[in-house]
This record gives sequence, structure tokens and C-alpha cells, in this order.
Amino acid sequence: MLKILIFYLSIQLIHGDYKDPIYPVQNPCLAILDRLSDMASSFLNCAVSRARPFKLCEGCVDTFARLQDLIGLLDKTYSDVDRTITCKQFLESYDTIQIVAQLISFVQNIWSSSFCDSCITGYNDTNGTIHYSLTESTTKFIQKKMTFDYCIFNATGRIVPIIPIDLNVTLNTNVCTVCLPVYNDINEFFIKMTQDTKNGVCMDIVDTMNYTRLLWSKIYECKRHDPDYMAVMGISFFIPTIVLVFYISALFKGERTQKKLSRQKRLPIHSTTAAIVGDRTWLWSNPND
Amino acid sequence: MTEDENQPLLDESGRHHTYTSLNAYITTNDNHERTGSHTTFATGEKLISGRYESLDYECDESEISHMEEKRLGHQHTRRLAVLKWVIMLLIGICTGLVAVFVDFAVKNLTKFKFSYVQNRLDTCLSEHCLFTPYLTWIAINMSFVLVSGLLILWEPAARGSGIPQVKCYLNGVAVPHVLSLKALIAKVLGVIFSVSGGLAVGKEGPMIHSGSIIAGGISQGKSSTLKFDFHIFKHFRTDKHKRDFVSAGAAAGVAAAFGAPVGGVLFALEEGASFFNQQLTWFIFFASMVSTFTLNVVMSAIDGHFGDLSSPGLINFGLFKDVPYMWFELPIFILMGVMGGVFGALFNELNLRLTKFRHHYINRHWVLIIEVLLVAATTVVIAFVLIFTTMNECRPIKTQVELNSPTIQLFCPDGQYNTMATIVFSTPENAVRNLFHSEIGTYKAWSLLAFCIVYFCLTCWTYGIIVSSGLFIPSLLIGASWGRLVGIGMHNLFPSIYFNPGKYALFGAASQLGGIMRMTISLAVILIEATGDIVLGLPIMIVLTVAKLTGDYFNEGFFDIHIALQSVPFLPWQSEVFLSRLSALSVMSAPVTKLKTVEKVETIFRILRAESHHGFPVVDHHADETNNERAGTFQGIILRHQLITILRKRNFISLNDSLRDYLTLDDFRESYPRHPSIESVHLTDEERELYCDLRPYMNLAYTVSHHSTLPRIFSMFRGLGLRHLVVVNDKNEVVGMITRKDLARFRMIHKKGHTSIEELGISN
Repeated sequence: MLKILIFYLSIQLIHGDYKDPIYPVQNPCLAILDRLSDMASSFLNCAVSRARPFKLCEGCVDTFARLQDLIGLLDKTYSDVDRTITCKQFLESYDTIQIVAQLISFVQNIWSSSFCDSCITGYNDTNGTIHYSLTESTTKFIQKKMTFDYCIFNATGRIVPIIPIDLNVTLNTNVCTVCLPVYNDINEFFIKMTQDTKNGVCMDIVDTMNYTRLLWSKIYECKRHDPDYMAVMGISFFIPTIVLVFYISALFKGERTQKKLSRQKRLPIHSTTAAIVGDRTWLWSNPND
Repeated sequence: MTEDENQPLLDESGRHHTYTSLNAYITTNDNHERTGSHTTFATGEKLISGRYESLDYECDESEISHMEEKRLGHQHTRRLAVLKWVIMLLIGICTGLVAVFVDFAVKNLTKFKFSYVQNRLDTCLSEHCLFTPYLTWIAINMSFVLVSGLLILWEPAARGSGIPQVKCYLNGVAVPHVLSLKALIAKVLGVIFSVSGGLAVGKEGPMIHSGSIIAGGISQGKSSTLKFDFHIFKHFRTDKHKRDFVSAGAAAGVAAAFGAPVGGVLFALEEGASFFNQQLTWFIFFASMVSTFTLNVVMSAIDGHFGDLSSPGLINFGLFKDVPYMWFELPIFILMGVMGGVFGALFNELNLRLTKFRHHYINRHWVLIIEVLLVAATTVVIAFVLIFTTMNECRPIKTQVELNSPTIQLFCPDGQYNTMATIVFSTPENAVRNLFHSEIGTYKAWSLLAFCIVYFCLTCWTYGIIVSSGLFIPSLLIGASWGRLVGIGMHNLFPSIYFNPGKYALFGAASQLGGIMRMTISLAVILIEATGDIVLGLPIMIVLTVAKLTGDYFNEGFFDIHIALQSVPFLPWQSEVFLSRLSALSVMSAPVTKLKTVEKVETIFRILRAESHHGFPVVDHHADETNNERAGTFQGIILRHQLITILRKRNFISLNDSLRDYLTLDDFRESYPRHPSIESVHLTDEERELYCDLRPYMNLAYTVSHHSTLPRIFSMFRGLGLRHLVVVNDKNEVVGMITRKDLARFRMIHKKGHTSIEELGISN
């Protein structure tokens, strides 16, 4: 009887009910997983292609917002009918590798370490369309950058290169003077922005500014420093000379002070110790005597 | 055979011992008294200054103290223990708060100065007015440092790092004014202005001194400077208790400065407290912990996240995370230790010579002030020249940290910063942290070398001018720069292996500090605690040990040199071996001024006016009228301030009367620690004819036989913390008296393989 029962049970195991929550055939979580893989690859695709020049925040905000939306869905969807296991638990807690969890943290880390939130706010996914808005300082910065580019274009007659490293331009010498006010404007705006922002300036802007500066100082070779060496050299020689004079005159003029030695009461050298120590015969340690 | 019994060490035939006796010609009393005063040009370590007195560390063993003990009973001891905990708590809190104040003030003054100078620099670089920010910078620094210098003129005890003074105090020497409130004010304000004034100084040494002063002040519950008295903690108004508290204060200072409570305790143990017990260690640890955490709480509140207790001490080396080291690096560490020892010894030697020069030739007030101003100006010049010569050394601003921290662009193209300017413009603490933690390639080897050499000379020159200044951070900075240089060198030699230059900077810093200070365990623990990495403990220990061994081959530790230079009668842990040839007879002072157990007021008054001694043996006056010198067996010792108190309180009896109304210990404690002088006592002629009974007040002091050798006397003196040691003969008659200066004047000198005993003169 027992044998039959065991046999029956093992048959039941093999032909198990695959609508069981762990082995769903049409589980909503698997659908999300499917979608997640698509969205993640499109975000990564976007991010890598915009790595240089850096345009992650502005360029990939739509894919990121969709991904965020999907990640939010993980907590709200359940894998079983009884609504006890969320998709997040279902996808993440049954193995040690946790691909989904790693993916999510990777994506979010890229986004947060670029400080994208300080230039793009209020992005959300409503029925597949992405709404977002740039912060005020970002739009201002973009405007200033456009003014700068326009100025350069006017002065050189060429479009500002996207990557300022490989550029064979015959230099137009008046770029520096013509565009200096515009450049100073954007530079000072950027410096002000870095001082105002507490947690970090959006990497898009930092990178744009870096390239602008590189362009300005390396490609067009605009320098604004023209120090007056003579004054500095003069002071730098003058003060050490005073020091030298001071010490030498101290050496010749300074007086060594004498100190009084105080009289110490000591045993008189030629007094007999016996007189001091007492009547007892004096035995000093020298055995030869 | 009796010819030379009291000068056995004078026989020098066929030996390498030479005996240069400064006292030989001034101590021959009686017959041919030398006329006039004897003077010497010797200063510093060749002399013992008479202005230093010992502390009374001995327990009072007099009749009245026994009476008080009986009266107060056991409850009193328990109450004292509770009070001690309370005082330790207060010491910790106050030291922590002072540390916060110093840090806050320095940060803001520096920020103010640099932001102003930097703005002017930025505009002037293009407008041909570079000399204005340059001169402004010089002027600001000079005015800051002038304030610091004037403070030291106001209270000279606050000069320098303060560690030598604290060390002397804990050794049992009463350094004048070392624990006064004036010294605290001058120290704290002085260090704020000298660090903000851009000098090559740190604020850690002064923190230790400040902690000690705070402890000394709190434990007394009164201030003699401000003339107020809370009438609390009266029972701690003895040198014995005060010294315990001062060692706790020193530890709390270290703990606050480095964020290293254990290091603080070990510092007190190694450098300070000569007398220790388990309970005191625990008390001191408590004070250090409280100090560290007070600092943390307040600092985190200032930084805007109150309640975060992990904000570390005044200096923060930053955590070394995941910095491994391999077995093959150990020889390199040993080599670095040798380098640190050599550089440290060189530093000490140069500073020793410079200090002697200053003692001799720069000793007027206005000359001292001019020197300070010149040092301040030259420091700026050197910084400026350094920036100018490395003007093309630019690094792009990459990380967010660099973006947020003050990076200095100067001559660099926009978006880049000058690395040297960033070191020079930031506070030394930040510079050390940069050297420890910035990535490889940040600094070029040549500019680091230039910086290292220049800063070495600058630090050496700066220590000793009249500002309150620490040496820890400058030494760390020197060491970190050459250590980083070693790291860069290793990286270039073996490009295939990754050498973290920051790690080498740390070991360089440790080694340089060890080479200068010659401290061992406390330094190791402080560095481990400040870097928060126990894994680096072994290499730090290796580096410190090697640095100390190498440095000791050449000269002494920095603070020991300075203690000797101040002519302090400092007693080391033990007497040196060869001194056993000296006996009590050749060490002691004789003849001794003695008092009888019942002494005439007139005599006491006369003796006190004539003699400057602090303790007088009391003898039983069995009459031996033929030779008054050795009359009477030894009974005890009475101290000068006790006698003065007795005279002031008119505690007199007539000859055949017996004493009824005793003075109590409270009467004697009243004037502590600044006892009135005998000049303040005025007696009428009738009073002079009366008598004093000294028996209830005299202290049953330790005695030593005249046979005893110097090492034995020394260990007794040191171990028990004595002030007076009476030499008696076989009949218990007083033949001499030994005090600290009698012992400290003998010194072994080792020169070119010869060893000799040197006897130092004692100046007024």
C-alpha cells in the first residue's frame, strides 16, 4: 500500500502542475523580464554611443525613463494569483547572481554618478511618451554655448568641431579678441554653477565646458595670462636679502648674555670625610688601599 | 688614603673618562672664597637653570595629614574617586571644545585669506598687477603672525610646541607659568594665528599643551590669574593629583588632535607620565575618549549632520582602503626608515644649531619680532617662487571632488589646475591628505623634490621663532613628499607592478616623524588610528623602529634636545651605568641648613630670608655643642611654604609651652600653587622671640645612606618622584641633601668612541 502511495506521489511530481507559481507558463514577470532586456539594451546602446562627447543625460533620458518605469513595475506586479510574491522577489531572490538586480544598480549608478538629475527634472513615462524638462541653469548654459559657437563660426568661418582634438585649422588670430566676452560669459557662468550646486554639476554640462575650454586654450591658443615677471622677481629677491642682512647683523651686533652661576654647597675637597660622616672609620670602595 | 675619597671620579689616569668640573672651582667653600660672581657663556644644554624647581610629588606623611585622614574616613576616598571621574569628563569635554574652536577658526581665517588672494590673483594675471596680490598675501600673513608673536611676548611659556614643557612638568619639574591661564590663551590664539599666517607649523603640539593646561586648571577649581576660586576640588590641590590630571589632559589633547584616543593614552605613557598605575591609565583613557567624541559631535554639527559621531580629529589622513603590500616591499620600507632616521637626525642637528644661534644673538624683544615677520614674509616668497617655477604643471579637473575643493588655476589653461599651487594654498593638513590620496601622476617628481627640500628648510627655520607652533604636520608633510617621491621612483623602476604612491607617502611621513621625534609606540598607534587601517600596522612599526634606531645613532630626539636646550634638570628613566662611580657624598649638597624640632621664630625667619632652599631637614636637638654641624638625628623634612604658612598664621608657642591649636592641611593648601614669599611676612619683635613646634607638620621623608651609589639614589629619586632626599650617616645624622639638580648635573657624553662624565654648571 505504501509502495503504491510513493509511486503515485512520484508520478505526481513528474507530471506536476506547471501552473504552480514557481513554474508559470504565462507568468507576468517573465513578460516584464522580456521587456526589461529590450529596454536595458536600448539604454546601454544609447549610453555607449553618447559617451564621447558626453551627452548621456540629454540623449538617453527617454530610454532611462522607460527603464525606470519598468523597474517600478517590478514591485507592483505579482507572479502568483495570491499576490504574495512580487516580480522583484521572483526575479531576484532565487539565485545568487541576480542579473536583474545587478543590471538595475549598474544603470542607476551610471545615471546618478553623472548627476543627470541636476540638469533634467520631472521625466516620466506616460503611455509611452516621455516628458521631461531641463532646469533653468541648463537651458541658460545651452544658450550661452550656442552664442559661443555662433561667435566662433563667425570669426573662423567654420563650424565648431564636436571633438576639439583632431583639428587642422589655420588659426584665425582675431578669434581670441572677438569671442573673449562670450567665452568669459560662459566660463564665469559655469564657475558660478559649480559653486551653487551642492551635490554635483550635470556631467553633460561639465563635459561641454571642458571641451569648450580645451578648444579655447589649446586649439585657438587663447591665453589670458600675461604676468608681469619683473615685479614678482623684484619682491622675491628683496625679502630674502633682508633676511640675510638681518641674520648677519644679528651675528655681529647681537650680544651674548652671560649667566651667573649659582654657588652650590658641596663637600670641601680637602676636608676629611671622617669629620663629616662621623667617628666611624671611613671605608671607601677601593680595596687596594 | 683620605686624600681623594670624595672625588673618586677625578682619577682619570689611563682611562677614557675625563671629568670636566665646572663646579670644581666654585664649590670649594670656606677658606679661599672667590670674589665676585661667576658667570658663564655656556647656555642651553651645557647648563642647568636654577629657575626650575621640582614638584612635590611625595605623599604628605605628617602628623596633621594622618589626623585629617582619620577625620574624613573611608567615605572620603570614595567621594574623591567619583570627583576624579567628573573631572576627567570635564577635561575631555573642554579639550575637545578647544580643539573644535582652533580648527574652526583656522579653517575660516585661511579660507578668508585665500579666497581674497585668489580672486586678486585671477584678475591680476591678465591685468599686470601681480604684485598687489603678492604684497597683500605677504601683508596678511605678516599681520597674522605678528599677533601670534606678540601673544608669545605677553606669555613666553606658550612658545613653541609645548610638548617639551609638558614633558618636563610630568617629569616632575615645575616649569614656570606652564599651566597658567595666560599660557592657554596665548597658546590657543597664537596657534590659530600662526597656522592661518601660513607658517610651516602644525596645531597638534599646541593642542597637547592646551589639553594639559585645561586639565591643570579644571582639577584645581580656581584660577590664580583671574583671582577666583570655586572652592571645589580642594583635595586635589597638591602636585601629586595635579600631575595625574595634567597627564590626562595631555592625552586628551593628543586624542582631539589626531582622533586617536588610544594613541593619546600611549603618548601620556611614553612621553609624559613618569608615574603610572592601572587606575590612572583607565582614567586617562576615559578623558581621551570623551575628548575625541566631543570633537566628533561638535564637528559633525558644524558640518551639518548632527549626530554623526564618525567625524575624526583635527587631522584626518583619510582612510586607506584596500592598500595591500607584498613581502618584497618590506626591504623598501626598511630603507625608507633609514632615510627617515637620517633626515630626522639632520633636521634635529640643524635646528639645534639654529636654536643656539638664536639663544646667543637673537634675544631682544624687537629682534625676535622682526625675525618672526621675516619668516612669515619669506614663507610667502618661497610659496610664490615654487608656484612660479612649476607654472606649467597643470592637471585637468576631472573628479567631482576636485571640482568642489578649492583648486587653484593660476597660470594653467581653464579647466585645469596647478598642483603645486593647490598644495601651497591649502592648509598643511589638506596637503598631507592630497599627498596620501591623490592618484598616481598627479605630482611630477622634480616639483615634489623641490617642495620637499624647501619645506624641510622652512620647517627647520620656523621652529624656534616666537610663535606657538607644532611640528607634527610639517614633519608629516616633508615625509609624505619624499615618500611619494620614492613611490613614483618605484613605479618608474618597475612599471609592471602597481605601487600605490599614497602608501609610500604614508610610510615616508611616518618615517620622517619617527626620525625627528623618536617616539615609538605612541606614534605608531596614532598613525594607525589616524589612517584607520590596522593592516598597515606592521610596515608602520618597521619604518618607525628603523627610523628611531638610525636617528639615535646620530643624536637625540627633537623634544629631548629642546628640553636640554632649556637647561631643565630633567631626569631620564635611569641613570647611566658609569655613574656608579659616584656616591652620595660626591653628589649631595653639604653642609645642610637644619632646623630643630622646636625652633625659634627668629631663626626660622632668618634662615628663610637667607636661603633659597625649599626643604629643610628637622633634627632632634640633642645637644652636641662642640660641633653644631652634626648635631641631632634626623626627624623629618619641613618645606619652605609650610614654614611661611606657620609664620603667617602666627602658630607660635613660648618655649615651655606645648602646641595646642594645630594648623590643618587646609591652611597649607590655601595658597597652592603660588605660595607667598618670605618677604610678605612681617613679624614683631615679641613674635620673633617665640618658638615654633615643627613636629606635627614635618614630613617623614625618605633618607639614604651616605654609602649609596648614584644609580641607586637615582632610581629611588625617579621611582618615588622625590624632591628632597636626605643623606644620613650611620648614626642617622643628616650629612647632606640631594635634590633634582644635584642628580641632573651629571651627564654622560659619548664622543668619538670616548665616554666621559660631564658636570654641568647651575645658573641662577
